[in-house]
Amino acid sequence: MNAVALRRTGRTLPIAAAVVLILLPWELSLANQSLYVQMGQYAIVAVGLSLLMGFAGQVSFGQGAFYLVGAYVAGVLATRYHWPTLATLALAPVATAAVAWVIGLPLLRLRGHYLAFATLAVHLIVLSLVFTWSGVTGGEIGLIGIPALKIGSSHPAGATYAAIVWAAVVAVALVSLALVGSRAGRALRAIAASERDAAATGIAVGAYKLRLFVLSAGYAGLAGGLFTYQLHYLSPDSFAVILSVQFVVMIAIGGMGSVYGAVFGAIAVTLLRHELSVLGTRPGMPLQAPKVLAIGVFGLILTVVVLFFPRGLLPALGDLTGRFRPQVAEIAPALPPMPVPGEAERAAELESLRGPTDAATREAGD
Amino acid sequence: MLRPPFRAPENSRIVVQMGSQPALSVDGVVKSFGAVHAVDEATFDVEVGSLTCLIGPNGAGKSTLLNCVAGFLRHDSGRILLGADDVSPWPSDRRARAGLATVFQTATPVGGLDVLGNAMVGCHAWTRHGFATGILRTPGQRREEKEIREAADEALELVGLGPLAHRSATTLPFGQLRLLAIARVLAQRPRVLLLDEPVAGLRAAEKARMREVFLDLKARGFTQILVEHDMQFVGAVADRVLVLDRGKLIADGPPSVIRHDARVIAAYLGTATV
Repeated sequence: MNAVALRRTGRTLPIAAAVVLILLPWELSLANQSLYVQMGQYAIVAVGLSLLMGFAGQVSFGQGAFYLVGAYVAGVLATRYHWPTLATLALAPVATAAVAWVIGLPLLRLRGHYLAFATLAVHLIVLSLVFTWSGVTGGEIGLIGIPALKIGSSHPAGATYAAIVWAAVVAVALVSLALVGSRAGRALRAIAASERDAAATGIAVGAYKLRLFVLSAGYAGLAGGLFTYQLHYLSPDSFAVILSVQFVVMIAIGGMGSVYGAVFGAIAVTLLRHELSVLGTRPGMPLQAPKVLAIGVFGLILTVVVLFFPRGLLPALGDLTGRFRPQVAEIAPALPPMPVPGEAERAAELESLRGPTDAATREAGD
Repeated sequence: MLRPPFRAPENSRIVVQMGSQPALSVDGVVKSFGAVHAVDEATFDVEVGSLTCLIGPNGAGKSTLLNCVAGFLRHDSGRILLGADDVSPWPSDRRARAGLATVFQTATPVGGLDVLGNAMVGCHAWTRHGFATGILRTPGQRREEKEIREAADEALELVGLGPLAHRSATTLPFGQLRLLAIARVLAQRPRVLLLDEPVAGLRAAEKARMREVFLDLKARGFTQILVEHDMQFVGAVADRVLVLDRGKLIADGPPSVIRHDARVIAAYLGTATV
């Protein structure tokens, strides 16, 4: 196939898919609509996390925290301060990105295990803030009486709301694909390949990683805002730590650095979670069953994928059939090395990329 | 035609005056690891347009020196000047943007990009569009992309990878990966090229190709510094050879002279210094 034809078919398919995804809600039952909205919200978060893991090599278990921040920013401003709902939805990603920038500055000095734990800690801290700051957030009881989203003079709900959410997914995917294909995208790919070589090419590695971290948090904040106007009720229960784990599982399934894969992973995991909760709430099941099932299955998936399909489940299937291979899935050659104990020195050595420091001693031995 | 820039790129107010000032000066650089002086008071200038080879037995401190110059290690004392700029406090990426290009032995190709895309990565050093304009595809960004593509094309032609521009970079054989790494730094429009053992592990035919490339770059006026083990290759390309032994610079001269230098022979044979 020549290049032009390839480009044309390469564009037709995603455009058709986008149209279908946005129009689909009108074909769905009410219950399925709300599941579909959830898929869309998660897909937005997953796309950002996929870029972050695939390009910057950062595993974040804190995307759930950013999702929470976006949700509460929108909810609190609309409910307590009576801001126009659309303005709060627009501010949610911006405020979340700002939060990510502040915590990203110190956090991104960490890597692998350390960053994963630190981002997990961020999630826990943010959760406890919600509990403590109950005057504003509603604490344990939750934030109630959130007004409906108002666009112009209409209040989109049901299928229309689902379509809006999926339009946001498409927008986020477009932004991400444009980024991936630009100079910044090449720089990020170079960072994923080798931070040292990237720095030697003039790429400010730390600054680029921070920007991507902020962008991915912004996506999560937007998704959080969309969550707020779906249920009109926010409670810390909706943002348990399992949520952050769930986002990582989506990437494990869809593959890192892949926009399409992330959307696929989000859909698959949301469906799986739904089926598990149906299973867990069947008569005769113990009370804790849904939670335990989710944690067990997600843990199993993560373990299997990391051990046997380090590039992710979907890319591995693509390799197997040799057919379905989203181009963007090629970005990441493998999962970022999860440093095992003893590799800490190596991680410290890589730290030297932030500037000339003495850490890179390994390179130095002739 | 691809030539080194006469004007120093960003961050630098200085216009490089060819010939009047060394391209790179290493001035009393010391780098120790604990009690070991890996680099001990190294001092030398590198002329604009010259090809200098840095040699020495294993453990002499060549790679340490290269890493200090490139900015991946911070030297303990002394100065490193690129043109007239003291780059000592600068991190490696800033040095790269100022025109110092480094090719490591294990240059990793960037996955998910073709050969041309890999060369385009090098253009990062002198271009400026970031996240926002990249996403919005502004006219300025498109112009810059076009310029980047042209510069990358040119760099690929120069090392002979032009016909492979649209192949996936990760599928290239070893020797061509090395050439691609050189194309990537050429796209950087460097003032000084630092290469760490560029012919290590290459076959005879690939070495011959590499030799042509380096001589061609020299003819175009690029300043090159090679850390190299292969003495035959050094003899074939170098204008000047610097010999490092236990962190100290022990000899400096054209290859024909160095080959017969008693201290160099002693250092390589491991006998006491004459």
